[in-house]
Amino acid sequence: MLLTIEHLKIGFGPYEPLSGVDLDLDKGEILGLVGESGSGKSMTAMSIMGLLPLMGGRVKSGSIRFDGVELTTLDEPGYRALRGGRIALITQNPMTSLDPVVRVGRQIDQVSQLHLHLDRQAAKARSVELMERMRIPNPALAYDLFPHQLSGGMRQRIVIAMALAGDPDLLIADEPTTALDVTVQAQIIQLLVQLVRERGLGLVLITHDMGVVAQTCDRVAVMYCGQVIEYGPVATIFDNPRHPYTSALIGCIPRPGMLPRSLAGIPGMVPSAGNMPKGCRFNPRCNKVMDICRQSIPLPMSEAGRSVSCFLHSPGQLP
Amino acid sequence: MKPILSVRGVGRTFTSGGGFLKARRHFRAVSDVSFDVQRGEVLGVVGESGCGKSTLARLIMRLLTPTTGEVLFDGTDIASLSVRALRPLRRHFQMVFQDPYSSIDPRQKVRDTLLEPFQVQGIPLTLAQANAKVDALLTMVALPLHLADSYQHQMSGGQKQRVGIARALALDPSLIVLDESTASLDVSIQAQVIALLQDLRDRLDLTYVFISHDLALVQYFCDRTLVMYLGRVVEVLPRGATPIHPYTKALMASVLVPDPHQRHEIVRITGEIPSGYDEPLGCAFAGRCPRVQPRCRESLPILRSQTDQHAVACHVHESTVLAPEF
Repeated sequence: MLLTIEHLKIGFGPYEPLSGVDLDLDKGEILGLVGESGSGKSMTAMSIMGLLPLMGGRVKSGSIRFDGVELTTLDEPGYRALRGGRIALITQNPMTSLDPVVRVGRQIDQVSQLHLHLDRQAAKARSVELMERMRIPNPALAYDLFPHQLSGGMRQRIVIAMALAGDPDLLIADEPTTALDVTVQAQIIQLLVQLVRERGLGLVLITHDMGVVAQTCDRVAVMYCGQVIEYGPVATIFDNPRHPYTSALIGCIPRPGMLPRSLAGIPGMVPSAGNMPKGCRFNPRCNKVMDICRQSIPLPMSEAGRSVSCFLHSPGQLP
Repeated sequence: MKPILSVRGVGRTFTSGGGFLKARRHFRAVSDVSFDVQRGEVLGVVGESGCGKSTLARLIMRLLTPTTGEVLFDGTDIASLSVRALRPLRRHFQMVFQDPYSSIDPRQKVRDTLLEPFQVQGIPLTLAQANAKVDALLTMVALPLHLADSYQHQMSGGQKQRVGIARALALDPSLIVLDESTASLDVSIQAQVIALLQDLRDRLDLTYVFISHDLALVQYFCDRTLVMYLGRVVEVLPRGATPIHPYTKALMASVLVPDPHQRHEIVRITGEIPSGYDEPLGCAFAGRCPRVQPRCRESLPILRSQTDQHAVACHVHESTVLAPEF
């Protein structure tokens, strides 16, 4: 396994935005992390990237192993060698991840100069080649442009080229297409999938859109309030979602040919960190809630490569 | 029946530059757009960023003045009215913006946000009337009444957007323009807001112009959809109709269907929308179109009716349809 996360709990002061996350990812595989805002998807990404201390958080317990290396105890110099090199992050908003006063080509150069120790000319050649792979028209010309001269889709391609410049094994993409137009979103998604298949990268794709998951991922982890509540192969989960939250998330996406008034939302909203309900955290919004859901926390139940934490399918534990 | 909104040949050009050594440049954001909206209808407008859909929304609301054409609201041309003459009419058409963070004053309580439209229109309210209004509006958009005393930073994105809708409803309008009003929300909250809008339309007899870049959502919510490309309408699509224009087809193919067994080669369209500064001579989509023909680059296709509600502007379609007759 390229990446294994076990029983990960992280803390921000008295709060616990992640409480017990288990995930794994192999090379050449795409794992979807899906859930509403506040479900802990980005926190998971930040934990893998070792960026929690920057935000005032810490790993309370559990482990994150990347290619045999334990990341939760890795020191900052160790992390510096990995970040941007073997592990790369693509964020949602390309405007904030690019330096507005440095030419985009130079920004890609910096990564390969730092991590692959290329000289300036070799770095430039590599950047132009990467930009071409990203299907940026006229890469040699685009190399000298500033971020504000590019469209949103082109900027996101530059960010992906930057992520690839350090020759990573693991790519974490946090809502990489949310800010883009649908046609451009489809292009970027397809590009990411091709990269994973060709280069054998592992990709953690974070999104709130079940449509993106269905079209790209091999496996999916559905997160709610800092917990993975359902986990398994994409086809299995979509054909037969077991957790009511998973079905509800799928039901939120409009499909072509859908009848009027058939789109079901999820009532209520994600509880804030200080107001977690007793028992199963989804129980106040669940349409299949039972008495036991308000009392105890369901244990994950695994079978045939999938797992679910819901009293409809698994035994419980007392809080 | 007389349409509530009738847009006739509306266009808007923005001019920039024009300094001492700088040539003036003209940007055509919207060109020659015409359509009617019937009372009670939900009309969708869909297209990529830069296609002119937000400019169109602002032209309908007369937040921008059109360079050409007329916008008839209930028979009155609001494009040519003076600002003063327009003000009493404004209460009948309202807008909900994309970003609730920037469209709600962070220093106002929800209560004051909801009462501001009355002040603007000079409608005096007693304290008791004001309280009743605020309560009624919050109830209408299914928000708890105690939120009246909250500020926007104390609310979630979905709650803020509901406040935006409540503010638009305050003066009892008949037409509401929704410009990407659900785009910044989580999918779960988006579905809630769409259901709320449907419910409000039935109860209050509203008419909507719903602008979005998400074709699947627009097709789901709207009775009829205008597909825009580089400032022009390329197709008018009734609910459930099969798209004809290659651009609409490409938008359709870009929809990420939530079904892993229906995976397809997503990209049938490459490149991005050209700039409104140098509009191409012929069809604006020709550069990206998989079925482009020589005449597409020479003359502009005009919008032709296919059936009662369905219209399309495409040379390729015309030639394939007309061919058997000759």
